[in-house]
Amino acid sequence: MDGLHDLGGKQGFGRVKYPSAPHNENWRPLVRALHAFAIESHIYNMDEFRHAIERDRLRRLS
Amino acid sequence: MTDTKREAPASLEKRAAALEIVLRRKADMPKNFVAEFTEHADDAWITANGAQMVARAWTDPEYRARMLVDGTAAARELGFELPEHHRNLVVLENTPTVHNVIVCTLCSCTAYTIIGAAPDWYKDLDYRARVVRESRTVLREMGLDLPATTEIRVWDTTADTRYMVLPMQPPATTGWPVQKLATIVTQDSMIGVTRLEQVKG
Repeated sequence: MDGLHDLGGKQGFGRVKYPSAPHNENWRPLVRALHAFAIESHIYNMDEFRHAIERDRLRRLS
Repeated sequence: MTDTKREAPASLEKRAAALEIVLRRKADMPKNFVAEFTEHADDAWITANGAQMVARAWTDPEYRARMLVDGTAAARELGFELPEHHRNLVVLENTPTVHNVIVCTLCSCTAYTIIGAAPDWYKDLDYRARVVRESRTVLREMGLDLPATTEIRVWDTTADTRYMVLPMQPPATTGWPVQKLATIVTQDSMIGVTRLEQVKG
């Protein structure tokens, strides 16, 4: 997989945007809570969650 | 995937709100779950927790020793909890010649109940990919210029092991009481992208 975890793989990453710009988006705490509920209720587990992140990242990178 | 024409998705606000409705209707999420969870997260999972652990370690050599053996137990000792799935909190001790820095290459894992929610830059692909491959350069770009003689250790967080850095105490703060010391410990210093030695007394 030519992703960011493949240390010999994908190149071209840039400078870290540090420090982060402040934000106040209210969907973030909402999603954090919904995610906690979904995990707690066994709607999906952490492995499924990470797999979904990975799929999404790769799609956006490709 | 790229050939498929898709409608632009709704805004994040709308999608999150829709998800909340689905979880209420189909999974019996209590009406006050979001408010209560958010209040607890904002009140209890804060950088000050890790800062108190660091300040205690600076002033109590026995606590420091216990903390380096079992970070989870050392957190509990001060009343700080980790979610069960975090399993292990490992504390990494900086020295004059060793600098530790943490990352989650896979996503954004952190000991968030102890050092607070991960900052945005910690989740950036740029940080996650490059701090592993060229840590010295990335730290320098972020303002931490370490001498070539300093060994840099990069720790990749996993699902069941979380890390925090134990920074070195600034010499100018020798003799300070624990509570005052805790105020100078930043989240960035516990992630390992800054050091505190330059803090003035």
